[in-house]
Amino acid sequence: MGIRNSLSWDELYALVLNATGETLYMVTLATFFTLLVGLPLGVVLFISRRHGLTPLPKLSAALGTVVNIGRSLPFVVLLIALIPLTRLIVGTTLGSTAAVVPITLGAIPFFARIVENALDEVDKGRIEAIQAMGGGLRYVIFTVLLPEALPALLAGLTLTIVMLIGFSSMAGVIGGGGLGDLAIRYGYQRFNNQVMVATIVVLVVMVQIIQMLGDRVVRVLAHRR
Amino acid sequence: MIVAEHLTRQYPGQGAPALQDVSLTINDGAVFGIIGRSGAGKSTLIRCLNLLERPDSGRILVDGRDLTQLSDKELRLQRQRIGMIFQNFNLLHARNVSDNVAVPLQIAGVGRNERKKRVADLLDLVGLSDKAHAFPSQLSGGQKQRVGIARALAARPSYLLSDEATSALDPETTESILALLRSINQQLGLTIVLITHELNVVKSICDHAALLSGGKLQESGPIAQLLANPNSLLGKALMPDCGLPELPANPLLPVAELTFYDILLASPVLSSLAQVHGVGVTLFGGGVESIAGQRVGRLRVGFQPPMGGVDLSEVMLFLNQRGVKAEWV
Repeated sequence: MGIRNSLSWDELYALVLNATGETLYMVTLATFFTLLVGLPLGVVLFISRRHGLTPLPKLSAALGTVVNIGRSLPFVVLLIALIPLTRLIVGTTLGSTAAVVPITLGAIPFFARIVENALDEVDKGRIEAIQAMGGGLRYVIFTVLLPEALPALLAGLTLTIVMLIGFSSMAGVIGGGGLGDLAIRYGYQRFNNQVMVATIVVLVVMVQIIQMLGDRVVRVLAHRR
Repeated sequence: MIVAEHLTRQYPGQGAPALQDVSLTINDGAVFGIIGRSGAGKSTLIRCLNLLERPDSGRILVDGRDLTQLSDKELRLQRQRIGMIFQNFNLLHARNVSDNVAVPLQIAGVGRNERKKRVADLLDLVGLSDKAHAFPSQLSGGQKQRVGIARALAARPSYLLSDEATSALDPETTESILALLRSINQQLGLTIVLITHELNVVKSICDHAALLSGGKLQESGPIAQLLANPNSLLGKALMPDCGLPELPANPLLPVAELTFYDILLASPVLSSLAQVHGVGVTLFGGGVESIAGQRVGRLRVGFQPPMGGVDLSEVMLFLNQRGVKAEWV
């Protein structure tokens, strides 16, 4: 018996299911942490601007620089450059959980800019109306900025999740598994078209579902207001 | 009482200052209209009154407290006493009508139950009880401004600032919003400061007016005084229009403009003129308007002297003695 290159349907199913699970695991965790850090970071970027609500030029410049550096590195480079940090945070540099660290850090600057831009689109008059009532920064952020920008924020989040799926496909480089890893190991290294096609189908369907859900939520919200 | 003293504001990189040494006194209970063309500095001025815009120099005293000297926290408390409405309404689109009106109450720390009651009262006051759960995008411009007014009144302010509140509305809606503001002024004793570029707004509800141009205050005072002052630009502008500006076809006819106040409108001054002096009166144009609660009429007339002529200065004297202000054109 030589090396068997074709898989039975059961084998294919198990492989793809497992990889899909890994991808969903990484993307879900990374989305959570990206939101957790990226949203406040975006708010701070917005309010600390030179003519912002609480101008903090030094902080603004420092954060802006960090965010720009994060956004200018290709993800594969970031993935490897962050190995020491990943070890520090997760304790290991291998596996899906370890891959969440670079994926998240790669997405945070992107999402923070999206948040900043979404908040900038909020009508300045509405902010002034709250200030004229005697509302401080807390009210401006939580009753005007975030709620009024919600549709744009959700559209940006959808964009970010799709990007996270892209990032997660490179996690194979550090043994993170997932659909991208599967495609490289079977589709590229073993010329297994079965796996290649299955991977592509699952990824496309996944992105479609996320985009559709995102669009629908945004539409419902936009319709109501 | 709001007193603005020597306000000056220069926007960086712009030639002329937006405000130059503007001083104003706005008494309690007044409806004070500040009128001017676009770019005259009206918006800057009204935004200085709650310090949305900080003047480069000068003071703003609200009930004796200088806003420019307050800490951030004190200023926020002070602002709760000064409601504001806007040309573009500035309602929160993510909240329905009730929740929009409730915002100032939340800021003022009013409890949930009391908030609910107050919001219902306010919506009743502005006639929008049936729209409590509608979102701003589902309302017309006039309805949005009513929500804006309800919201501005929520925290029971002593002052209401109106930044071109009717400029985005059609004439009928403008009239209904002005009527609402008038009744709020009368019922609640709220002092209203409004800026506008429309003379009609000033005529309709203001009892005091100021003219701003090029960032400078040209004149200000009670409208009755402005109307009575022949040198007042604003008084002249507020007067009813005589209609056709050009002179009548017959240049031989001496033409005069007559101004009547209040009850004089009803008394038959012109017919007695005809009777006493035998002078015929030809009407070329005129108008009667209610300005600051006072009816003012203006007529442009030509005098047809009787055979044998008449001393026209006697005609003028006759009119002036009866309280009609008459001027040759």
